Amino acid sequence: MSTLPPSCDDARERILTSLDGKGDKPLTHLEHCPDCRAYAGEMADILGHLRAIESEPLPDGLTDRIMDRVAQEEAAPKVVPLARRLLSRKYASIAAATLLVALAVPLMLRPGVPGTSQQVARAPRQVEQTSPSAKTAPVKAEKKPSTDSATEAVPSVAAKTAEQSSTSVTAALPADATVSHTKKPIATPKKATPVRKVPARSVRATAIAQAPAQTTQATDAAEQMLASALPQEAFAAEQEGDVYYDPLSEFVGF
Amino acid sequence: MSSRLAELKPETRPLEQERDAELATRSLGKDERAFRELVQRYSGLVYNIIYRMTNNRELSEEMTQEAFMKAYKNLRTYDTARPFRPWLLRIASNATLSELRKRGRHQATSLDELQESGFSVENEPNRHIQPGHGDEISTSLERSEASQQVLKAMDKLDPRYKQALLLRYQQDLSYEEVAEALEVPLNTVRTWLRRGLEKLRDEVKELAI
Repeated sequence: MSTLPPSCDDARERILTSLDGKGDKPLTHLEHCPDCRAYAGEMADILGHLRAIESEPLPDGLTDRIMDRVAQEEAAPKVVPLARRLLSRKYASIAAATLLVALAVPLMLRPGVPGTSQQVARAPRQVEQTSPSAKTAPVKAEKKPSTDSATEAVPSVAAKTAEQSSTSVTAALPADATVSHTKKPIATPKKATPVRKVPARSVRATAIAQAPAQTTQATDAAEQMLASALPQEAFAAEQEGDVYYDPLSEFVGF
Repeated sequence: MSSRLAELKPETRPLEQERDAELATRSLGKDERAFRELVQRYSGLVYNIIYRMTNNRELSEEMTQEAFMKAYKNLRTYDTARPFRPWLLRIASNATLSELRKRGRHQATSLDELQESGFSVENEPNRHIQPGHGDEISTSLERSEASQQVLKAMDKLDPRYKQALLLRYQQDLSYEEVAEALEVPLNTVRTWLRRGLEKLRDEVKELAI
């Protein structure tokens, strides 16, 4: 086509258009161009044969077979692809919430940030001294293996406790106590016994002395929850102040 | 008055008078009768296009069923403001080209297969011409041979050109419908048709030598 003179190329386009019933033949050009006249004749023949192609008869019963398949499709239980299920609104919202938590937790656990886990974890430690019921804890403290089933319930309890009391309590803590605590090395999650000894007496005493009265109610509630969740030994140790059992240690790997 | 209103309700009209889009909408609402009507309307068209592309009756039936099943499952994606026929043909066309690619070749038509098809001499529409009409029989035979040559030549074409030629000249779709069915711009359809026709002419000449 590209070797054709522009006039012939254009004429052939018009020939095809006219054979398609959509225009006039380039009569003037055809009078002077034998090649294009031959082209017009050949194209007319080819188109004649194409249009003469008869339709192939449909196989008997094809419509019924198609409709049978449609009926089977309707009767079959709908299997939603996994990808589509995952993209459904319900799961998308769950995924979004999970993502949000995943992003928020590391931020919350950053050392030195007010209301973070380091300070949150101290909240129960202050609780036990203000509560009279804690004094009745009967058992001497011993280190408790982290596999103890009772400790598994601790993190959520501690988190609840922290929600109730962390704001006011951490505000009452002296700055040096916070700093010294946050400088403690962070243990890897795999380590066997996430129990830490914290020289908590002085910190605790200072914090309690400065704590506003409004924290008393919250700390009482927190203490009750802690007492029910912690193993007795650990709780007793808490009361005596020589061992601090950090309930969040298992949860966040501290 | 009420009978006039009843005439206007789509549910009360015979299915044959329903527009494609209405039938598609009703099919989407699990009205199998409506979808059956669409199948009856277009199975011949779909089957023929596929058959001319594959030259295999069994495969053509299988592919036709597949095309309608895909259409049924994807009715939700059909835009009822647009014509149904090109939408359906697009599904059939894509399924056919995909199948041909899967099979690794564009199946060439053997002369035997052609004679088996509706274009054999015995099956020509003029085969009932009575003796005594020698010229007509001769013309019929010549036409049949020419048709066979054209069909054979078509198998040497690029499948896209072949589909465009069949949709436009065998099934009489408009340029716009061909463009929609093949998902290409209108100018591409014009180009494919012209190139397809010229290539077909060349192939027929070669076969005649």
